[in-house]
Amino acid sequence: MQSKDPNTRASGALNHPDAAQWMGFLYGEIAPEKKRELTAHLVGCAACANQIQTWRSTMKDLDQWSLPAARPQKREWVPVLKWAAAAAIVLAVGFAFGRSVSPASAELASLKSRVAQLEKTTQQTDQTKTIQAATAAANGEMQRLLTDFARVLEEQRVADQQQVRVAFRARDLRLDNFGTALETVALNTETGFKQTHENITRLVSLSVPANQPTQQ
Amino acid sequence: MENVIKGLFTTSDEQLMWRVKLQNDAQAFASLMTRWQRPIQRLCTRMTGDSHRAEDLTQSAFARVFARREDWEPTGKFSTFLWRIALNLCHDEARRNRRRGECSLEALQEGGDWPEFVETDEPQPDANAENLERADLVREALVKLAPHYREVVVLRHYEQLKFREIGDVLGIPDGTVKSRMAEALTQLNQLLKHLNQDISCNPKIQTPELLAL
Repeated sequence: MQSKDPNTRASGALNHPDAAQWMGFLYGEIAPEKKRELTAHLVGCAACANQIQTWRSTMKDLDQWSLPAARPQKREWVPVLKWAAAAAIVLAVGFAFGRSVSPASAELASLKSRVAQLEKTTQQTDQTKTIQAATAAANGEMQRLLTDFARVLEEQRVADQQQVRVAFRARDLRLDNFGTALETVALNTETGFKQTHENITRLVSLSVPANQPTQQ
Repeated sequence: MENVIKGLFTTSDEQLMWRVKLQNDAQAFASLMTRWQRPIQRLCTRMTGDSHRAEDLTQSAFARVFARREDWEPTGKFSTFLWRIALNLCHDEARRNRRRGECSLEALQEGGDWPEFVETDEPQPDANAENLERADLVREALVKLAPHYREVVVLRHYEQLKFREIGDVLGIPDGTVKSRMAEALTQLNQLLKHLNQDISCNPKIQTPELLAL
């Protein structure tokens, strides 16, 4: 630290804070972090510590010249009082005006009845809204039920179709068997007829009358 | 918190100055004077080393503020505007004195009356002669400082403006303000040493040359 040029750093000690920083330190215009840093520097730097001691001593000397302390500022209530008075006047005038133009009791009753009507209308409107909401809810429920019903019906129809198909297949099978059996019967019958016809023919040939000459 | 509450119930300097600027509001200007007369007088006293001149300068400062009310920009702080005007007046006064070959310190020593030392509101710790002597030394040393150092010391140490605010008043970076402050303290230390030695050797001897200049 050199007294001739406070901004010049001491030779061989490049890390000395400059005078401007020390002024901030001495007059309390420094960030806490910087203050800690400078305080730590003072502990290990005799040159800076001496310089600070000198400055502090001079600052203390300066305090020896005291002049009359500043008188406490007289509070200026006049503007406040003026504003308060103005506000009071405005409030008073407003109150008086309000009283003077306030509605009579008849008008007040009329207003009350109108308010009651409005309340009634409002209630009706509320009821209507409630009903509409309930109807909408019921419609929704109905729609949901119909949808369910349609779905169940469709499922039932599909199941029935499957059952009918199965039944038809079984019937076709039985018809086929029946046809086969019928053909067998027809064949047997035809064979029987033929046998019978042959038997009859043989019988007829055997029962020819005796007077009739035979070919023999 | 107190400042916030106070701020709610008091008119700001800027509001008052706005009224002065737009409406030539005498009452608003009187309020500003009530608020700022003592700080400006303290500033002028410490800048000139002469309480009587400081009174005149304070009046001149407010007169100039009113005369230049059109120059005040509502975007800036009123106090910055006022400090700047008062400081310029102090510098003008010092230049006039130098042209006349007069020194504030000499005037002080000839005049000899420093009512501010006996008018402090607080109990008088400096009431004894030794303390008065030390205070006198400080005043002498401060007057010997170069004006651009003295103004920084007065605004920061005595009027407790922040370095940034001082930078605004003087139109310089706050780093420069801090550097000037450091140099001012260093020079003051040397001046006070010299003054102490002179008094201890021979109280009648005048102070040495102006080291700060």
